[in-house]
Amino acid sequence: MSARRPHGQSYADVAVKPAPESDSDITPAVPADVIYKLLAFTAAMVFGPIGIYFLTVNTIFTGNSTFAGIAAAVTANVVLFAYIYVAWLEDQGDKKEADKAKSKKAQ
Amino acid sequence: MLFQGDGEAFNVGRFLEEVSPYAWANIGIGLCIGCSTIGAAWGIFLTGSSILGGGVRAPRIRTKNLISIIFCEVVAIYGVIIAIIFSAKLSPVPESQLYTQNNYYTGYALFWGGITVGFCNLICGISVGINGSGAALADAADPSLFVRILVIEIFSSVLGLFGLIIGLLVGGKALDMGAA
Repeated sequence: MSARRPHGQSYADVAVKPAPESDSDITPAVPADVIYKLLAFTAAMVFGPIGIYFLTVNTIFTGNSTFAGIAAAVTANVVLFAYIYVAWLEDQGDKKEADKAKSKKAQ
Repeated sequence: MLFQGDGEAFNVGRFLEEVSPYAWANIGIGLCIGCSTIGAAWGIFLTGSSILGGGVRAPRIRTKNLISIIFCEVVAIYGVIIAIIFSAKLSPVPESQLYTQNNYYTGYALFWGGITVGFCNLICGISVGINGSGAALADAADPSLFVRILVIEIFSSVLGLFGLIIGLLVGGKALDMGAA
């Protein structure tokens, strides 16, 4: 009988009482702009090199598929390093914000 | 034939001559894109599980945590590029002109070129994946370490480029089927 409700408290009171606040953090762990950046760069990674290959193979390189393949590989690496640069910029911005927050706390 | 006492009836030279160059070329193209994709998928699988696991310790997932995913995608794209270049060399030819020296060469070049690129990218993808998994865990423990570990990851992603270069060179010497 340990689960008996306490005296002087009706069932309605118990039902109305809000659920206890949980400590669990339910805000999205991955911000939307991070997802959009990843999707945009994934699309660029899929269509960029293949597009460059088909654009250049018959125009600039006149049917030489080896050079067009090299151009496509270079494009893939350009997209890769653009993503690293964007991540680096974001990291620097985060660091600055963290420093600002720290100096504000110190004051 | 084998284990029946007449294994010598299998004529290796005849087998190599009778298999259509198309078969060699298409198996090569298939292995090229297939192994590259397995490598990239394996890499994303290793990295992704570590990013999620590290997320328990540090739930902030920023663009820099996902760099390893893009690294793995590059590996798959290398395979796609080579497969497109190789498949551009195939075109239908009448059977009477199929078994020529040039077509044999194209078939074997695309087969071994495709295997070179495929297995290079398979290993490269696994290597990038394991590096990325380590990077994700290191970032969760100490965010200032991330850039230093990223340098190592760039080295492992260069391995796939070696395979791509050799694949281009091997495929570049092969004439289009039916040309000559």
